[in-house]
Amino acid sequence: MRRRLVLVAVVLTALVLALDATGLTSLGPLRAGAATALGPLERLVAPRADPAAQERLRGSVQAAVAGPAADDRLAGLLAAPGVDGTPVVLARVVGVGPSGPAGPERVTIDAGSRDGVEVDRTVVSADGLVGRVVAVAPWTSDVLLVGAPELSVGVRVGARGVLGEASGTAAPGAAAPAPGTLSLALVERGTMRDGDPVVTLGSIDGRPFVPGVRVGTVREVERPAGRLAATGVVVPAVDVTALDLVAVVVPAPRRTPRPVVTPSPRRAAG
Amino acid sequence: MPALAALGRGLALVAAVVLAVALGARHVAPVPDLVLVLVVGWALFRGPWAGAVAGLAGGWVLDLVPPGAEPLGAHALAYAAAGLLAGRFRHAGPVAAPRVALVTLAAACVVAGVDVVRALAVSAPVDLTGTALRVLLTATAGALVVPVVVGAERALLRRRFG
Repeated sequence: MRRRLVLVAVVLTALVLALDATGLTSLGPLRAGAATALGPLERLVAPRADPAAQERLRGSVQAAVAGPAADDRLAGLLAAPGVDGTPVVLARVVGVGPSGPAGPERVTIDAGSRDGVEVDRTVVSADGLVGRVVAVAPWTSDVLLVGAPELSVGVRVGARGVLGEASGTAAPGAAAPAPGTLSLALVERGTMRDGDPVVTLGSIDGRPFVPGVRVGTVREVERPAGRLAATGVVVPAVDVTALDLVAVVVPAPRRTPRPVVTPSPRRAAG
Repeated sequence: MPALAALGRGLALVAAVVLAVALGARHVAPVPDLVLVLVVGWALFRGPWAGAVAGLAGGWVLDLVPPGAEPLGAHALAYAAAGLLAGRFRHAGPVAAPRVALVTLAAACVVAGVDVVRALAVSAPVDLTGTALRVLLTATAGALVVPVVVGAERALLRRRFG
């Protein structure tokens, strides 16, 4: 009898696994329920910033709005490319999930839907791209980190902005990247060199990624046989094993419409 | 009373995951797999089927406690297999610490092996040194913590049956 119950539980688990892996139904509510119940507990046992540093941070938020910031970390974060000018929600990492085969893949931050965080928003730190929000609860959210197998980012490479894709899994034709790095494949003809900067391409409405955020630098450029474009490795700008202060980008709705440009008929004809 | 004991075990699993998550936030790495240590403790005390149930529950807790893991249920099946394996090594009488460490090592290898195979299947990077270090750390933690878990279970039995 008991063994039968265990087998039923195993079969049910396998069914849930299949549903989640194929994406037939969204199991988000289950996850959100667990996060709503346990998020506050994780915030409670998270490392405390000492009060003096917190006071300094609060002061520097006000200073950063008005002028030069006192706190270097916050100043760097607020001045990071892709972030300057867009509203962000500041948050701290309160939990780091079980480590995958190549390091941490998900973290929990102490900002949630009550702070305006939504699913598929960009998360950045002072150094660059951290990841994207994958689950939101009232008081916490979960962030999928750069380097996780499920995460891939459309990027621009080098000064000319050649389009490419950086991913936690190997690009077609390339070997698996070393732990802690991303595989990079160009998607158009172009060149890249060692040391070229890699920034995000950006997505529609800035979800999941806003444009212009630093991702890392190019290393180990190769031209695999039988491929149109070069592949390489991106060394991420952010060390995901030492995250503390991060920011979630929450773009404000566009207030002023873009100017519409109409080419003059004569020039178009000529 | 058994329901209360089951609730206590569930809370212990949640506490183990929250502790590991909080240690990670303090940049402690590698963190031993405390859920697996609890599962091995219960499996060694009560046998393979109880071990499988404990592993299933532990994996679910690990997948659901934020930030959790994707896809839901993958850890549950891996930990159930590890609990089933650990329970096969149950025997009457006192168990020596090296034996506990070896059983925990085998169970940790099952869980890590599933993770590594999943990563290799999508050609994601695998850090074998880091994984081996974590497995060894879990085995060490098993040798230290499993006697405490078994002691708690014995005390519970004594209280129930005098």
